Amino acid sequence: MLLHKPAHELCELLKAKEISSQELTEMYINRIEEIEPRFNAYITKTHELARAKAKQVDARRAKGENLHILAGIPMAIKDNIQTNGILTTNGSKMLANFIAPYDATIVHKLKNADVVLLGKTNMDEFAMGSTTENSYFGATKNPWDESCVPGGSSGGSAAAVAASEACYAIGSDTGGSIRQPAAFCGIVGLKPTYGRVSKYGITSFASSMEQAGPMTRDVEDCALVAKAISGYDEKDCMTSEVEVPDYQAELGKSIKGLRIGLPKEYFEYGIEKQTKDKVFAAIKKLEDLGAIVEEMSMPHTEYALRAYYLIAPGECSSNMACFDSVRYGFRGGNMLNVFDMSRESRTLAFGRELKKRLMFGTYIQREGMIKDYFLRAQKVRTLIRQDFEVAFKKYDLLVTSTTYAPTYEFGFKQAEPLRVYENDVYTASANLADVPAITIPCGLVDGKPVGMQLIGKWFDELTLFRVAHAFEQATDFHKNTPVIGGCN
Amino acid sequence: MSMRMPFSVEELEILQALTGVDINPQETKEFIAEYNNLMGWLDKIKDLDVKDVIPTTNGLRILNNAFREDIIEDSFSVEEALMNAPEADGNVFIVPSIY
Repeated sequence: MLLHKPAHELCELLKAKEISSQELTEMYINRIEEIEPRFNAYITKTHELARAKAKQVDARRAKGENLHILAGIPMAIKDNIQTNGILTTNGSKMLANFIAPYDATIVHKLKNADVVLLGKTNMDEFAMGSTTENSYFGATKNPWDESCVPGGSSGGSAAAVAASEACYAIGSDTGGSIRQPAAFCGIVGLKPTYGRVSKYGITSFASSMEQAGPMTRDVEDCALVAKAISGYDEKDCMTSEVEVPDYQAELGKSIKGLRIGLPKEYFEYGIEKQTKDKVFAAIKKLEDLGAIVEEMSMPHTEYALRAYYLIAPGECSSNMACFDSVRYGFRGGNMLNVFDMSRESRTLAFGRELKKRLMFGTYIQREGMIKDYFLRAQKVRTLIRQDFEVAFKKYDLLVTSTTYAPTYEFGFKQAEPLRVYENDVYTASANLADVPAITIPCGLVDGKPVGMQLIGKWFDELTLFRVAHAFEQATDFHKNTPVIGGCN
Repeated sequence: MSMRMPFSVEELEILQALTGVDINPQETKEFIAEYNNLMGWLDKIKDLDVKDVIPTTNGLRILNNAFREDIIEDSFSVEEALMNAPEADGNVFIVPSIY
């Protein structure tokens, strides 16, 4: 079925002129109009712009122009990424009417590749959350089970791809916000190495850890999109000049003899048995393919999540100060003076979770607190990084589960907040250590997807794609699609 | 090691002033309970000896400033700069009194 085809297959059909970009675009728009009211994956739809772009790409293809492999393929972008002339709300009342006046560097790159933008996807307010329940625009539902969360904060992007409301999507990941929703929705998601992808034009949450990345139907698409958005950017001094290799060329190579570490600590945090069984079956498959898998130790893992939940709110409390309702953003309440105006506007515009994290991030940086908490967490971050340095002397990559269980029902977070935080234990270490990590589907538990995570060396996305692709080619998990409206 | 400041209504009032957001009495009660719960869990981080460890503040460990030539480049027009303003007049942002 055309709706479920990955971008690299659609590209072949477009090249062979078996289908046009306009037909593909109409197909996705129809799909969105049909099922979007159930899932709420999008905050803003840009269908007229999409139609115009598709028409333009078709005309250029007809003239024989040499187009990018992603040209004319409909996709979606998370709503914390600036898109010139298009609403960019960040899932917040604060920016509910904010029209971005410029393009993020990754949007600029995607426009140069002539992609067709279908819309901006739903997310937890300012990317703070792991369920997409914290969006001002209402929660997104998981296409596999509408009573369950899609994960977050890139839940709209994950649901849009899983429900075939877009061919692929861009998300952002500060502690797992690409990988956890990708796992919960049964798709592939990559958090690139810190510095691989420009952050210019992405709303800052925890600046030292966040990266944008692809959320796709399969590994080959992930490699293609990663290549398209990666690279040094003079507008972001935290991008690296390390060359971006041709990821696609590496796919299909054998993984025989690769050394994979299995960090035992990652399986000690109440991982549910059925999920663990699926991940271990996947690890067995990697061994069957010739990889050498060995149990090993990452001794500071139990501190990683704690460091994350100190550093992330700490950085966010500074970053959020820019929303003062002076030059842009929601303004309301008492207008007696500018300070009251700003405080009351923030009070009216920010959601509960955001306020909770802002105040907490401020608390742990107060005099008398900063040394024992925020600075200590930054030192723990160094120890976590050293764990990875030691591990990568011996292993080419690491393998873990992406989450401790499949998705859960709405409202679970309110009942079990620490349990929801703990779900980030598998993913947050990669953000703290700045290493790349990919999640790939490895089966269903009670009809809900679970993912296997591969963590690589700094700037070695190539090995991740190679191993993930080998696994994918040897299995059919990525071909699972949720049953929506009686058909897959 | 110093004692941490307890979560009290007064402490939360200070935090509200510092962050520029207000919460209602019900949220104050809930936040105190949630913060206490969270801190109980986070306090384990104090078990580690980090005396001689250098903190990591950014992923690339970049210590150099990024410079560029001071050349005038395209920037926002007045219209673009003001297009999201809650209130504007001509070429200025309008705000309430600043004192």
